[in-house]
Amino acid sequence: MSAFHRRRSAFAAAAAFAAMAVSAPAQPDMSSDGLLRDHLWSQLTALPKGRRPVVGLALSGGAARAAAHTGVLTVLTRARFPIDVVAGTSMGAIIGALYAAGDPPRRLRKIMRSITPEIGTNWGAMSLLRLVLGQKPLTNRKTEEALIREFGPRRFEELAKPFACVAMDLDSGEKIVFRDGPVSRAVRASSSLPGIIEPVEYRQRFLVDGGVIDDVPVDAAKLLGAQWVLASVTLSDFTRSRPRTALQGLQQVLDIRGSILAREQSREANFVIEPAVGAIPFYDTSKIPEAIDAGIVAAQQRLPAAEERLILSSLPWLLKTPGPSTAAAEIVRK
Amino acid sequence: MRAPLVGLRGLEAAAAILLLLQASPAAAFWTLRARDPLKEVSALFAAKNYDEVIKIVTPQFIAKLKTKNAAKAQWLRAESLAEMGRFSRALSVFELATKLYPRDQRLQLGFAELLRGSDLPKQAQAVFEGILRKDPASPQARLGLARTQQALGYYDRSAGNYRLALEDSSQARNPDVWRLYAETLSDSGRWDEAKTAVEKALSLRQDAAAYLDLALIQRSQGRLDAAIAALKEARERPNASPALGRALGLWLLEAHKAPEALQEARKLLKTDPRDSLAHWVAAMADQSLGHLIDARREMRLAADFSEKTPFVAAVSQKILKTWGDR
Repeated sequence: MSAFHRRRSAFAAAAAFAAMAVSAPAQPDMSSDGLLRDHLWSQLTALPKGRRPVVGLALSGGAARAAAHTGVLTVLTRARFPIDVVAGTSMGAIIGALYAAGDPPRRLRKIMRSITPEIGTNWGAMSLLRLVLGQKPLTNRKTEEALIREFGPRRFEELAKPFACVAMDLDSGEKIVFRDGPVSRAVRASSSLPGIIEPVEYRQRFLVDGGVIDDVPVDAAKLLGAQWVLASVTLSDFTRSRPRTALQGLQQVLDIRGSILAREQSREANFVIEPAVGAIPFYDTSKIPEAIDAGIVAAQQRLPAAEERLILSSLPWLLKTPGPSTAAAEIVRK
Repeated sequence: MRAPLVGLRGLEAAAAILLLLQASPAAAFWTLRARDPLKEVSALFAAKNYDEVIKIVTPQFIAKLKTKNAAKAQWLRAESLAEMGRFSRALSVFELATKLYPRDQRLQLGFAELLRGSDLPKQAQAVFEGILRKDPASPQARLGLARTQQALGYYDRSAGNYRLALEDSSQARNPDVWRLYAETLSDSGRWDEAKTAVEKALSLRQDAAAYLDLALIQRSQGRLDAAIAALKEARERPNASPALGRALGLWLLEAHKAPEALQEARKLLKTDPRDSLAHWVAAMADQSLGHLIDARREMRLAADFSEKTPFVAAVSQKILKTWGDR
């Protein structure tokens, strides 16, 4: 629900409705809680960066499922949810990089809807045959090229918002958090699904998808200075699938491991939005519009609670707002 | 020779009906009533006697009806169940009936509206879209779809469907539809268009809801004084709710008009001394005015209603902590 929608809902029941041909809005939030939330939210969003907590957004991996993040971003942007730093893993890294570069949610949704397996990889009959028979993985070089086409050969430092993405060093098993250097190569490394896409050689390391080790990069957002982190998590519902091939089996194992890991890491976040995309297979790009819609719906439902949580964490900052109230607060403290 | 015979037979029949009516009006009533077996039930429904409708319109009753009447009977049963608050039962009646009579638009619309009202917007959207596939000109389905998409947060799609619904002249004369359109435009941050739409609603009917929408739009545009004036207009309308006064108190605080905010809070507390938000407004206004003891007292009262208003209570408790209290 956007800020306006909730404000209006809060008042809708308050306003006297005569006999209406059209019934009043379905979920009137006539509570005092709704009114106060709206009041404090408008004050919080008016505070400049530096005079409120640094808010981070952590975007999980999940390939096609993770397109739901663009729906979440759509709702957060409409609600003027302050997002100061962004961290992402795998598809979350791709979306996060685009968002941090300044792409508005509308553009992100358009990009996501245009995604097919061929766009980011050398997907095709021959390459798939080589993958299955010759165990030669696909390459996602095209992801890097597409990112460069979208925002140029940018470095992390040149992005509109601080951004980090996560990959794993295949030799040491270390988590690598990228915060500097060229963005597109790091994002490519973060989204190299092990076993299917070849590792990316970068900075003397062999790097694979960060989802293996850090699917919900709350820590990376904190490294960027976030004091309050909202995580958007697009878990798979692995209980619904019955793997029949070796690749599907491998994917199932990765999904289970990723889900367990993601649940643990989500606990580090101050707030979690979890779009209902569990049934969407990671490779099914035809379901991306469905994932985006699920992101919108989930964020819409959870937004009031997210705002309340951030308001409560920001109260010390809100009370410091200059004006007569600050002076009075100071007197009370003395 | 045949024609006079036929004429004679017609006359005989008319005479027989007259005789029947004279002899037994009740029998004649039942004979005529049989032509519309749902007349009585419809009258009960119109009189809001839903319990009776449910008792009469049983599956056995419906089984004796022809298709068109059976569909209407299902609708009456489902709507009555919904009116009685038996939503899941109503939904299952609608679900079955829409499968039995897929061409009956009234059933489809009733089902979709009930799904929307039952907080199942995704499912409602699918039913509304199904109706529109068969009848793209259905203004009710268009409006229902727009409202469902609004609830789902698909504001651009919702605005597009409102626009289409408003092409229907009866909808264009309905201020509530203009208001809803204004709300979805506001939801997507299209303030100028929203203001035009709400002004259209106000030109059709100057009610509290429309003034309120205008106030909200103006506040979102940063025109706080104009918003406060519009909110006061809303509050002046008949049967205005105390929530408008609470909002006014908060907005006056935002406009740094603490004395007025305090006055508004006191007015509310006179009516309801347990109004936690009014206590909160009073506390913040008192604090601004330097009435620090009063501010603490009011904030403590605001913090006391954690069951009724948990967020107000949580905020108040935290503020008290910051103030060195509790």
